[in-house]
Amino acid sequence: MSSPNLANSLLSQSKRSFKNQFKHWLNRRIPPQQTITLNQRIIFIFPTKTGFAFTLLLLALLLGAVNYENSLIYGLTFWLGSVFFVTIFYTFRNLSGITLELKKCGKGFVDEDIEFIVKVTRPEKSKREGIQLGWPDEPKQWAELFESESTSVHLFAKAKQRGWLNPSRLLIETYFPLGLLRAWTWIDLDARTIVYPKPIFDNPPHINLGGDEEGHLTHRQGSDDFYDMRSYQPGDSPRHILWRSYARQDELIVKKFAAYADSRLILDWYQVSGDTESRLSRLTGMALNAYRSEKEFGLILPNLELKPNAGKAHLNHVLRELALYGYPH
Amino acid sequence: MVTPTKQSEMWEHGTVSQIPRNSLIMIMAAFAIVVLPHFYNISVWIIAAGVACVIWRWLIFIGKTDFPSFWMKVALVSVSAGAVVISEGITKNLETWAALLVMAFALKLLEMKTQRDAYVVVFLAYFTISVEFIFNNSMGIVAYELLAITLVTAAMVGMNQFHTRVKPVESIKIASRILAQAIPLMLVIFIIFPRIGPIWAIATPNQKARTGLSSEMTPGDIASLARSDEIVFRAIFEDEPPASNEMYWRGRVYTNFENGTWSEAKIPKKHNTIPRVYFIGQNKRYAWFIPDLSNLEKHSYTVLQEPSYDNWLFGLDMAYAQTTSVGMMWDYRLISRVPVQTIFQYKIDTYPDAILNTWLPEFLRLQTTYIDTEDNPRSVTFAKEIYAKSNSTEEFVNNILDHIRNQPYHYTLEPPTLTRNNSIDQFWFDTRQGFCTHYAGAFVYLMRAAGIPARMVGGYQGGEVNPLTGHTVIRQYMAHAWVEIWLPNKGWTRVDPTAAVAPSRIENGLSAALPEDDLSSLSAFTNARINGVLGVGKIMYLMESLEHRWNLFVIGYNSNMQSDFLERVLGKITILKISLVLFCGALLSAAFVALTLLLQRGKKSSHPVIKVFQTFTSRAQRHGYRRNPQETPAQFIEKLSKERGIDKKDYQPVIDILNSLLYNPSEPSTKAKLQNLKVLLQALQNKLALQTAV
Repeated sequence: MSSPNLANSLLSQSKRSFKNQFKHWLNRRIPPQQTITLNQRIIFIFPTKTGFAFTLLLLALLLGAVNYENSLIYGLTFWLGSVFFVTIFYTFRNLSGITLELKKCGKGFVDEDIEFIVKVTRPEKSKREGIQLGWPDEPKQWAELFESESTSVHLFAKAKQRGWLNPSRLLIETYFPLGLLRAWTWIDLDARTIVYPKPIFDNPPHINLGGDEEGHLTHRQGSDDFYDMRSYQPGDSPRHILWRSYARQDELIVKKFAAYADSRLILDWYQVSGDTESRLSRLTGMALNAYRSEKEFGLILPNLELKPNAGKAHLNHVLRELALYGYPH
Repeated sequence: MVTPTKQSEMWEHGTVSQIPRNSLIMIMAAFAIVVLPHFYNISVWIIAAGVACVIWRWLIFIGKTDFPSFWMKVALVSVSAGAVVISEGITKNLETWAALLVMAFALKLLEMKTQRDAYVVVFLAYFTISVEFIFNNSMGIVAYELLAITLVTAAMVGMNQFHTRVKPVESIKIASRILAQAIPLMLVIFIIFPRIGPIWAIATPNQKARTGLSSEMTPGDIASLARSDEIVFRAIFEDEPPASNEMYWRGRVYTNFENGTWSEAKIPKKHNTIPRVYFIGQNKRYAWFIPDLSNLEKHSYTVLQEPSYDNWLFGLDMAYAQTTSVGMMWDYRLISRVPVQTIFQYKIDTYPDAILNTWLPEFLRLQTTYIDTEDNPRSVTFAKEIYAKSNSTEEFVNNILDHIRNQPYHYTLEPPTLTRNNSIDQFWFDTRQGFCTHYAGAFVYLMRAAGIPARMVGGYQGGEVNPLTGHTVIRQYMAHAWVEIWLPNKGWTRVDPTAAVAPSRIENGLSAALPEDDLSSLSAFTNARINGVLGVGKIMYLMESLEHRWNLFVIGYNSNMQSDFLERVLGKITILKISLVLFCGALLSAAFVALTLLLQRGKKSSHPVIKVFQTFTSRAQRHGYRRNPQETPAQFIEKLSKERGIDKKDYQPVIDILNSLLYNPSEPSTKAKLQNLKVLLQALQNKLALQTAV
């Protein structure tokens, strides 16, 4: 009972240690870089399953040639064998000289697909085709490098937890031209981005009024009372657009609603329920709601306090703190 | 947690990936091209079934119908396998295997869904091509299959291209380039790869389809060969070829005569210690049948035997085989160790004046004088009468030949039929119409009736010299039968009774000797060539000589030729030399490919300034400075320098020169400027490194 377990654990241990060693070796050989040009030092090449099957076909053909003493079958066998040899150069060359550059790391919430944009560039006059790239365990994307000299590939990585997302090494591979060989490499584009906690929108949001309790509730206006107009910005609710004015002029105008004097919210760690993650999720939901309703909001975490403020930059700051709570920054 | 292995397997190359549309089209076209020539080898209905499968697959592709279900597939496979067995029969013939292969190929095409299936189909296509090569070795088929190979390879290319790039023309272009670049290495391997003989017994093409002499002969057998234009073998004489009427190519020796059928004799079992065959290099002492050859004139020549799937070879008397795998039989036939299934080259030294059997062993005298006198009593009486009137054996022979000359005997392809056990009498006294076998058979019978050892020899008589290449071509219609009698001191001596009835057969060939009516039954090609129809003859000679060269250098390239060739080029052959040649060949073709590929790359791949800058950034990175993707080179240098407290006067020149080189198109980027940039960057880098160290 114990011995297979032991063997298994030993095996998995040696596997893990091998993996670690490989990782270590890879890190030394191909250090993280945001721009990297592939060369013979870092391109691996090996026959595929199809390639091995092709070798078996060659053996069968050779047997036929020997048994039938048939020069033409000999010729066909040697020709196909030489083709296999020649394609080594093709497959290798297809990756060699390709430059990859990390262009953008998107941001997002847990359980979302986070977008990374990688610019793939080939040497000017050397057309390439059949190149695919992708994170491990994710579908591969094709990079069209025949017509265009460079192309941007949008890669998505699943955000599984909040905090830093570092989608390990990027696989870039090709089977061109015959699928008998695979040239590939694992590169680290040093892609790193922040994943915000998955927001929970409790109903109604538990909001703590800020400031002293005396209450300076000034004129409280209904939400359909607006006091100002401004031009449309992306993200504004279509319900707030002044469609009548759009009929008159080209610009979209939105109604700006009167702000509450008591709208300075404090998103307080101690006022929300649940464990660490659900608290962070709730706070995230509240922050988003507050931002959407254009309120000023502050944040209190066990280790940090942010003064109420409004705007996109502030929201990003708050979300970042929520995402990295408990992690090194 | 998502199980990563499952998903990665799913996405692994070629398992679930769809076959690109155009790849599919190429595979189907390749299928049609590959299967078509098998039309000659297998039943038409199998080809038809293959076409049906292509159409079905096409309908699936355009969405008109669906893939066959599991049970449908089971039914299809069993029905078609059964049908193949019923129509082709359970034989060991290659045709049956080819039929099964084509059927499997067609059915696989039908259920081809993923790229993996497509690869199976592609491999089957290559295999089917190779099987076709067993049936057909001609240059024409090679030209045709080149097309097929290119298309099959292009289908493979298509499966590895981005779908917008898969266009038949583009894939074919890439495939042709790869195939062309592989040719040098292929040639090297083709020349030096050791040719070893067959490893095990194999299925050969059907016996029925073959023509040629067999181990038994009834009068009329050779007449059927006369209608065939097929080439039996070619001969290349080192000197002038002998005159056509001197060329008697011995193939078979028919000794036994029973029920109107001639057959070959064996050395009787009780004499099984008598050596039967001699291969060159063996001890000659036991080869009792080989006479003393010293001081005899000889002709040397090479024979290129076409595939006959038979062991028997041909040579002019007395043919002394110079190729190790060719043996000389006790009755001077030539035999190959293995059946000839591809062009087979062997060397012969012929000693025309050698005495065949200077002494006649008793068993042979018995075999060659035996007749059943009751079958043809009139002939026996006739022979005895003439023999009694003759003073010598020679005179007796001449008397018989004169009899043929003077009596109304006719030479014809279509003689009246004869009863089996009285055929000699009927022919000699009643019908008097016959082909060479009739005359030869009757002549042997008459000789034996007089007690003279005699036997019939089957082979080919004559030869057509191709004026372009100078080699001699022997075709089926030159099949002939003649007689040899054994005379003391002279050994076996050839007598050709056909020459008595139709001297032009020997002097000018078959069509000159045949009556007008019979000519129409010869092949149209034979007539056209022999009559020298304007231009046709010349073109046919040209094609024939091309084919001959092809056979000589490509198809007939075997271990003998290989060692000859290699020894001429390399001197003594050693493993080291061979590996060296292979290595150099691989290296050469690699260089050839690399050159064509890298020449493209050599054309300045990226901006020289960017290259210089990239070296700088990658070095900077080693010191911990990373350039953000959105930073311009100038911004990066500025940030870096500020961070490390480097004076503006130190880094500004670098920025200036960089900006002017990168963004000012009016200013030419001279080499000097580039060099300057390099130096400045190096200096900056040194400073940075220094600062970090501090």
